[in-house]
Amino acid sequence: MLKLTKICKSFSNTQVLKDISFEIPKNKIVGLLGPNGAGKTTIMRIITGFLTANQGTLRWKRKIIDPRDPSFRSLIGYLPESNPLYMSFTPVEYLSFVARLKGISKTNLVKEVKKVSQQTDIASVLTKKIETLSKGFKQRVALSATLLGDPQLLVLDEATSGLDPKQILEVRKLIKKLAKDKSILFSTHILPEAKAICDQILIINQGRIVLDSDIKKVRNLEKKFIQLTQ
Amino acid sequence: MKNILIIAKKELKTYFTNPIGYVFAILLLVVSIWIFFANFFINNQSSLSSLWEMVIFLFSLFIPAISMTSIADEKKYGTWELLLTLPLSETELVLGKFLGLLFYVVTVLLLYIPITITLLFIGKPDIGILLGGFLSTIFLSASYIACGVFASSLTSQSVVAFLISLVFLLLNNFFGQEFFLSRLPLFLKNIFSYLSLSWHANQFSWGIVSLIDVVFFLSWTIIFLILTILSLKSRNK
Ligand SMILES: Nc1ncnc2c1ncn2[C@@H]1O[C@H](COP(=O)(O)OP(=O)(O)OP(=O)(O)O)[C@@H](O)[C@H]1O
Ligand SMILES: [Mg+2]
Repeated sequence: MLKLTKICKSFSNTQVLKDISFEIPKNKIVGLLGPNGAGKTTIMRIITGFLTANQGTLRWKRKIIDPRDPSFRSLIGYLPESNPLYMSFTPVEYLSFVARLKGISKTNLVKEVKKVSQQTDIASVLTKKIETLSKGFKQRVALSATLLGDPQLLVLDEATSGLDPKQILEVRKLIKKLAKDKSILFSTHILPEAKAICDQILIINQGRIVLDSDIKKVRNLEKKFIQLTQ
Repeated sequence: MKNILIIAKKELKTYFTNPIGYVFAILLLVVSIWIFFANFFINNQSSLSSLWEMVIFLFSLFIPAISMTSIADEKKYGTWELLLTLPLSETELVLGKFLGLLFYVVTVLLLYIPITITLLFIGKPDIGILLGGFLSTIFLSASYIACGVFASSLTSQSVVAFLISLVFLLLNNFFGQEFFLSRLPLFLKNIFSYLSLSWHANQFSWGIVSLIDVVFFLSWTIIFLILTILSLKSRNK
């Protein structure tokens, strides 16, 4: 579905990504693992067009694409690491604003906002100010924004970080369900989480991919992770 | 175009739901009415030009204050990452921010209508000067806002953005003052006065609407908006 080939990225003179190549197959969940500063967020920012690669290509359904292209962007739902939200908005206002920018027409707006808020179970807080919500609800509001417009590819940067155990399980369940008709790139620091939901895992260390494997073929993920990221 | 309006609308909403938006609007009005009527009774002149000179100065405080958060806050809270990965370009984002602020300032200017009507009743103001004054304030505001938005794009700290645009606009204002210009040799005087927004605005407020001034304000605005777009794009470095 989405294929990265030899992506390189430098900031001023330091190279943070070196020859990154991998594929996110259709309707699969790919887990992106790696220590702090490995380059996970940078890869996601390149896929979503926030940053531009210095070298390499991205292909969507075999065609080379520029992630800054609006028609490609409307196929993607991105949840940035920092969980950005407008704190003075209510979830309805926030979701409507994002939906309008995603090109959803005014007539479909209410339906679409209702749909994603049911998916993430935030219907009960839709008219409260976001700043007054708990962390779990904030996270889910941000997640529902990524689902607006039914994107084919979800890029989720640490979607479960900071949530309580029950919420983590709920978000995981939701992500599994979403993968029925979406490709998902999912970064996490929690190895059991990757095991629980991913079809495939990538381990990245110091800007290089050190493992790209079907999850079923990995025996002892913890041991392997520590070996590969030394 | 649609995206620009969506952003502009969101900005307007933020200013009008944020108490700072009201506080500034009211403060500006109170200060300028006070200054204006103080002058009015001393000079007994039904001319708005003393008010406009004050407005030019007050706006160089007011506009940095309201535009300081426009991009800096999006950077601080990470929402620019969200915006710039939606089907929205840097240009649309910057124009939306700019227009939102301009609409807001025009709304604040509408508060001056009562003063204007008072003037029309008690004096015989020159309509040309009146219209020139309003027109120049809008052009001047557009130029100030473009600077403010640019300063705001340089940092994620809105206070830093405020100081940058404030100092810049005050200096620029100073360069257009007669007591400064009169001390300069002629060719420097021409350069400084030409580059000063307040000097052009003063030409305007005498009721002389010249194409040169209009072109100056418009090019100034466009240049700063382009710089803002470039500054947003430089995140890749
Ligand atoms: N704008 C930037 N300018 C300079 N260096 C940067 C920039 N963004 C990221 N880096 C560097 O690139 C490297 C990779 O960062 P990145 O955020 O992609 O890591 P990560 O794998 O997401 O880490 P974490 O698990 O902590 O989120 C880090 O060394 C970081 O310091
Ligand atoms: Mg990261």
